[in-house]
Amino acid sequence: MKKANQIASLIGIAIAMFFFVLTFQFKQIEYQDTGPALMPRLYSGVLIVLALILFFNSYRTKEKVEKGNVKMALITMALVLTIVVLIPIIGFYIITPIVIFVFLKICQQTNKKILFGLPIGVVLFIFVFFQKILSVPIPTGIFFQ
Amino acid sequence: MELLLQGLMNVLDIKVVSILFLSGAVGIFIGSLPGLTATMGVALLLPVTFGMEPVKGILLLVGVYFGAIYGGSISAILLRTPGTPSSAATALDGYEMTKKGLAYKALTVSTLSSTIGGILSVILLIFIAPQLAKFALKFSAPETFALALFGLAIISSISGTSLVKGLMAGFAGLLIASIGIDPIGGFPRFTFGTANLMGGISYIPVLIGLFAASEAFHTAENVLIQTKTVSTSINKVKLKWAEFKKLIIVILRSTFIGTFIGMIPGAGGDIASFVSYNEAKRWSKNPDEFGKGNMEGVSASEAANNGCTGGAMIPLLTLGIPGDAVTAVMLGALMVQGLQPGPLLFTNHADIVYTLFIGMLFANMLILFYGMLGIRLFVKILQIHKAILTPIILVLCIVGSYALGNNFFDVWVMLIAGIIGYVMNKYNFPPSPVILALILGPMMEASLRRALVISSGDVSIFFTRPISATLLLLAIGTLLYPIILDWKKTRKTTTDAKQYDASNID
Repeated sequence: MKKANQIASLIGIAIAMFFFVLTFQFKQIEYQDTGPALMPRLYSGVLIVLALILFFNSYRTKEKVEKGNVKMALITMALVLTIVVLIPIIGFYIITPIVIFVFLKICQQTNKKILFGLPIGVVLFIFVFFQKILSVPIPTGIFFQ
Repeated sequence: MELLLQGLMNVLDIKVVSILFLSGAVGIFIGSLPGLTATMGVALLLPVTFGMEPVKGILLLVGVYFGAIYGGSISAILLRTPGTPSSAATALDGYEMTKKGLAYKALTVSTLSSTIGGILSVILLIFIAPQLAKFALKFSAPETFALALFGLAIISSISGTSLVKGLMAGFAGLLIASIGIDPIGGFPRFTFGTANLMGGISYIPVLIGLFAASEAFHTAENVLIQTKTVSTSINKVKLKWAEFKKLIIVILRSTFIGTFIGMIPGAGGDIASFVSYNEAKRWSKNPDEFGKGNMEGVSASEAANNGCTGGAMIPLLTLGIPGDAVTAVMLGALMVQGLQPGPLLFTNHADIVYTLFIGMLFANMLILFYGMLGIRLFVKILQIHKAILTPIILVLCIVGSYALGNNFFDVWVMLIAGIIGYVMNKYNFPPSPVILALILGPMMEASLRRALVISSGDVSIFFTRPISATLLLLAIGTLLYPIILDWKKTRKTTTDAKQYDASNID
């Protein structure tokens, strides 16, 4: 966890510095002490101090990183990213069942009822509940508009 | 009384009753599955409420919340895996009872204790909340600032193992909260000319990402591992009346402890159940039986964590301060419905508030209904594979965040928040402070700057007004208490280690 904490503190400092520098582009209000930059500067300053504390504390940390199958989590994120990227192009109702099917295959599901039933069931539920009952205009993609 | 009767009439509407029935079942389903928390359930179903009337939408989430807290005990008792953190103490004796073939009895004790705990805590809520709201009506900008600061100080209590990490998450959240139009001058901050950022980053996709998507990514890690098998046949050893009578005192004591702890922002059901468990052990005639399958242990933990639900609603509804992650989501839900929690909620929307109270009582009664009839069914829920649940949750995250404003930008926010939340969980950064900061940050900034405009920049306005000064003191105390506690613990460990070294040298 030592290295992870040090990286996290450096990221924290970078984010805080980024916000802090940007506050100098805000307009100055002469008649008022509390302009738009006051709070972001305060937050950035405290974040930098906290990140420094984390950095120096990291040398004596006893925290442990929880182990797990990170590869599987990354695959899941990639699949969600695929849905999010492709929804505006080919539409929710096409990409979602395909990705769910792929996910189930990766998870070594062999039961055909689940393999085909779950993707269809999920989109059917979204169609009925969100599109028909709640009137949410689910994107159908550029080809089907 | 009139408002309560009107509330009762509103709840007896067939649609409201159906919503409560359905949401209670969904809540129990979510809570009973290890890895799916009450917060995740409420966050996931929040978008479903957007198109509903306020009462129906909020009661749907209340049903899920209460049901999930109870549902956590099912897997705690049958699998020794608490469905929610609030049921961790239940597993200690509940699972031991299951091993002895007393699972049915343990689940009955859990059902009765949860129902009584929940109902009593709502009754306390009905009595305490309006009084506190009347008092809070006196608040103006300095008090609101102090209150928001007090709410943010809770971060130190919900930071888990690392206070610095919790505070870092909180301040990062405050920076994100400052994106968008400045609340006093109207100046666009950190928007980079993008229209999507003008209104700031909505906290709802962030909380769906942090609490639901990140948990789903985490669950995906174990998706290839077979779930623990649980026997679907349970010996029907019933709870005897004489045994239940012995539990009444434990239930009452634990309910009061749970409600009181629930009222303290930052302390949630997990703390309440462990404190009550310890108290039950301390007062018990057979303390040695605790951890070996004592019904009092199950009863104390479950009455306390359900008692906590009503308690947690008190600061949420009267002051607009969410005490924990799940009430932070509830706060978001109320605001989406145009109901700004706080003292004015009781004057402007009294009918809705009292309908919610009655609905909460009803939601707790449904726990009894489901608990008594559905025990065998809920046992089957535990056999659902994670590979089936993960895609359902993630698709709901995508559609839910989109449904907020039919804007695809929110889906991207949810996904990024989900990935960040997953990394945060992995490296012990708690996600709750980010949400607290996103909700309370704008309120704190607006009231601070408004108060400073009123006082012409004189900061003494915060210290010369009694309520504001008290709240600021409380905020400082809340912030410093865990630090002092941590420092004392470190000092004791060092002293013990030195003494141990010295005795070894001798």
